[in-house]
Amino acid sequence: MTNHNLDLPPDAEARLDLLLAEWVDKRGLSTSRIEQLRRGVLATHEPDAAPPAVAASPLDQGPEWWSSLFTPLLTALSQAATTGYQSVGSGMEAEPGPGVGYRAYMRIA
Amino acid sequence: MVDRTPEGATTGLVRCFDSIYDANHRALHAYFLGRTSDPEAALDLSQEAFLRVWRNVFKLREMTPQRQRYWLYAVAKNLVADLYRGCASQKAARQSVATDLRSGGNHEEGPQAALESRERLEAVDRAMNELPEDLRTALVMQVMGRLSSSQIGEALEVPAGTVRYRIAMARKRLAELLRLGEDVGTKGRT
Repeated sequence: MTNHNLDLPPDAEARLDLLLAEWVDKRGLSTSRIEQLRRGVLATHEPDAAPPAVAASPLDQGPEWWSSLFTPLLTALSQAATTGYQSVGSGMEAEPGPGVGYRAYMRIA
Repeated sequence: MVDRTPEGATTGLVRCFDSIYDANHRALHAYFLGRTSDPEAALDLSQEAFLRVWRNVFKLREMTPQRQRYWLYAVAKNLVADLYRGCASQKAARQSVATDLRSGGNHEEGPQAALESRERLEAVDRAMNELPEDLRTALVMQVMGRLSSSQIGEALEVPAGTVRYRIAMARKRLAELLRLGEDVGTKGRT
C-alpha cells in the first residue's frame, strides 16, 4: 500500500496508512459481528422453495406439447378469418361485425 | 429457523451460504460503506444483501463463484439505489438483528486512549465523507474489503486502471483533508 500516491511525502504516506488501518479496524466488521450477522441471517429467514418443482412442471413439456395445445385453437381461428365468420366449431361461435373486417368472438364452454 | 427441508439438504444449503458469505462479506460491507459513508447503513445493507443470498441459495448454488459475485453486486447496487430513493420497505424486517449487531462494540482501551482514538476516527470519518463517492468506494473496497484493483473493477464494472487512479486520488485527497502533509511540514520546521 505504498505506491498509490507518489505526491505525498513518505511520512504522510505512512501516517495515512496507519490512520486507515485504525479506521478499518474500528469501522470494519469484527469477527464476532461477522458471525452475528451470519447467524442472524440464517435464523431470520429460510430459503425460497427449491426450483426442481419448476423443472417438473407440466408447462415445461417442450414444443410438441405446446403445439398440441394451441394448434386446434389456431386452426379454428384461422377458419373463422378466412370463411367469413361462420361457425368455428363446438364451444365457439363467430359472427361478423357490421363495420369491422376480421373479428372472432369466442366463448369457451 | 423453520426447517422444512430434510436435514441433509439444509446442511448443504447452509454450507453453500457459508461459502458465499465467507468469500464476500468483507468486500460487500466495504462496498456499502464506501457507497454510503454510513456505518449503520452499511451494516443494514450487508444484512439485507445476505438475506437475499440465503433466500436465493437454491439458485446461487448452481452458479460459479464469479456468477455469484456478479449476482451479489447487482443486488448490492439495487439496494444502494433503493436507499438513495428512501425506500425503507425492508427496514423493519432487518431491524432486530441489526440492533443486536450494533450493540457489540469493544471498549478495551483506557478512557484517554479511547478519546484520542475516537477523535482520530471521527476525523477520518469526516474526511471520508468529503470524498467523492466513486473515489471513496474504490479506496474503502481496497483497504477494508482487501480487494485487488481487478476485483474492485469487476464489482464496479470499471477497468482496473480506473480503480487504481481513483484509489490514488482518494488517498491524495484524504491526506489533504487530514492535513497530513502540513503536519509533516510543520514537524520538519520545528
